[in-house]
Amino acid sequence: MSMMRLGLLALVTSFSFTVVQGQRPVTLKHTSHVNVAVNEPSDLVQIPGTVPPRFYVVSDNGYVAEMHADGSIKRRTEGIAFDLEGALFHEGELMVVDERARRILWLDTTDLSVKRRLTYPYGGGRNKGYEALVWNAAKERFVLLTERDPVYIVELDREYRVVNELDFDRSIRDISSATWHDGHLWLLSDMDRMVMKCDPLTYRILDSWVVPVINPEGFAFDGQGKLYILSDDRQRLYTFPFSDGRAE
Amino acid sequence: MAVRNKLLLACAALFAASQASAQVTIGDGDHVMEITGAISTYYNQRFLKEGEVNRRKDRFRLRDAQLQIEGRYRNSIEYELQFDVADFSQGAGGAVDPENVGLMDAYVTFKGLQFVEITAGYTKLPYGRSSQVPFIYSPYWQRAELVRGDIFSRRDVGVMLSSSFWKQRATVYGGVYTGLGELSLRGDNDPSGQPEYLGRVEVAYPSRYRKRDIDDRVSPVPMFALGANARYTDKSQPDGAILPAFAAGEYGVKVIDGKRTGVGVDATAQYKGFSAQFEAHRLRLEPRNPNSALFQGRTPDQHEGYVDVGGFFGQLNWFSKKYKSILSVRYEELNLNDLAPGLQQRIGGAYAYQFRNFDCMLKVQYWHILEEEASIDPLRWNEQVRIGIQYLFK
Repeated sequence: MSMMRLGLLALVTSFSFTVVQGQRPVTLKHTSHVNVAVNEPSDLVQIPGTVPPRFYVVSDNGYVAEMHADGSIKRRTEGIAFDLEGALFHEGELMVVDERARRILWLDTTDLSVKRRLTYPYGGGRNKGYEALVWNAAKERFVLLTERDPVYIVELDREYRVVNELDFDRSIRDISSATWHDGHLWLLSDMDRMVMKCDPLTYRILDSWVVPVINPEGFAFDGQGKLYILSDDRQRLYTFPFSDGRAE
Repeated sequence: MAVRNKLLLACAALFAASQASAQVTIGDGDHVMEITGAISTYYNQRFLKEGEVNRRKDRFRLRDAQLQIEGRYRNSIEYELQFDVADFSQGAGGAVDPENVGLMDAYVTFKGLQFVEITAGYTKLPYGRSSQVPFIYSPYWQRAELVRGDIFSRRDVGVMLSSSFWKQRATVYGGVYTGLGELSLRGDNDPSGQPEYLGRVEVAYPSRYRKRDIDDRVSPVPMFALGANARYTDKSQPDGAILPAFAAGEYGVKVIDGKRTGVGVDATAQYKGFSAQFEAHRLRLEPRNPNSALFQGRTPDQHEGYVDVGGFFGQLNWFSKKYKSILSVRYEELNLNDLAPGLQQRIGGAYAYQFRNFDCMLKVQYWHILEEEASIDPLRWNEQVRIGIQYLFK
């Protein structure tokens, strides 16, 4: 048999594997979306108590914006960092993460000025550094996550000191955002386009949903049955019905 | 040793070198710098035509031993220095393999202006989409013949302006370069002293489209990108002067004593792990000398003062996260001189198994020659297989 025929046989055989499918997570369906006036938005966090919700949004271009639910900007900072990728609002404090500089910045919410910065050295790839920050209420620790290669969990105590380092599930290719909701830690993956509900004590994945969004980089639950997912490439904020840990 | 046994032995040897990791990012408040690299080795096996006996291409080869330093100063400057020690080791002074040139990038980009970025130095030219896709994200061991740098240059020294808008879905490039391509690293311009001008426009929908061929993110909606580009240079030599040695490239069309105008279009799409690329180029060569060898001995009435060179290729790819695999097929067609009879047609494919994403892959490529332009590029082989491993420390 000629090499060409062998090659064609291999191609046909390989493509035939696609008919084999395992059990797949449910795909979420959005009900609406708005365009976002923040360029290259990479994470968001809801400002507690705002109805309709307002968000702090961080940009790859190193600035922070306060954004209305319709995507318009109420106010924003100038560039304060290289590449902001994560945001957390905890006990009245706004904290944002600079992936490339390996820094956490604390902002004064009255004027969005930087009031504190701390560096957490990490030798991974320049664009594979800290991607998300979340408060783990079950362990009373802050959790910093690296984006990929590998996804790495760094736990900080209330004084922001590193107290533990763990590996995350290696089957997940990247993490683009993290949030706390309903007594669980929730993670978002851009490359795998997946929302994951995790055990806050073990970080084991309990459940997952597929996100039909290009380049999902940030997400937040509003506590009213809605899940917001931010698309970086499309500069859009999508709304999904989602309550009690179940897609509707 | 039988061909099959040799391929299996090569595969086993290459598979053994795959389990280490290293990466370095350092920085201070204003400056962040990353050091990464790549090593790749393959075994090549050619299936010769009857009567051919020279088997020098049946061999192992160290293709890449690259080191890359990328950095950023605040939000205003980015730079990159990338070189390949394996290429330097092949020795300088002779012909340049445009796909393995030694120095791969040495440029600085100024991003401080609001609407335009300025890149100065030695870098990839904004001409043709495929040329700009980093090779490490390909399941193949070689780019399509049309775009691997023997027909037109892929890198050069110069200055480029670029601007993105419409949420980065559209980008415009314009640049001026020496026009000598990869040979520009040897120093002086040619005696004409003329530069080459390039321009490119690319548009994507529904979002920006990264310079990748494989849909490894399994796009949830169909994504498209279209590009068009052009280049022009007049390297007519002063009387008595000649082009630098090796400037003309393997087929004698890369730099000519005369005018050269190139146009090209490209398209790419991806959806749910499937992706496709198409790219076509046409070069019009207008040699200064009416008796140029490019005219193939035709009279001025027959050649009308120009020669057309060009072709196209199309590629279909499938990515499976579940099987950690990439499958691809490619068809190429190339006419090295429209005054010479025949054209070159190739079909081939590639398979890559991802041990660790693109960072550690086993890659297999197969070529089959359907037709060759024998008067210009006679080949000694009909089929070729290349199998090897790519490891990135990043």
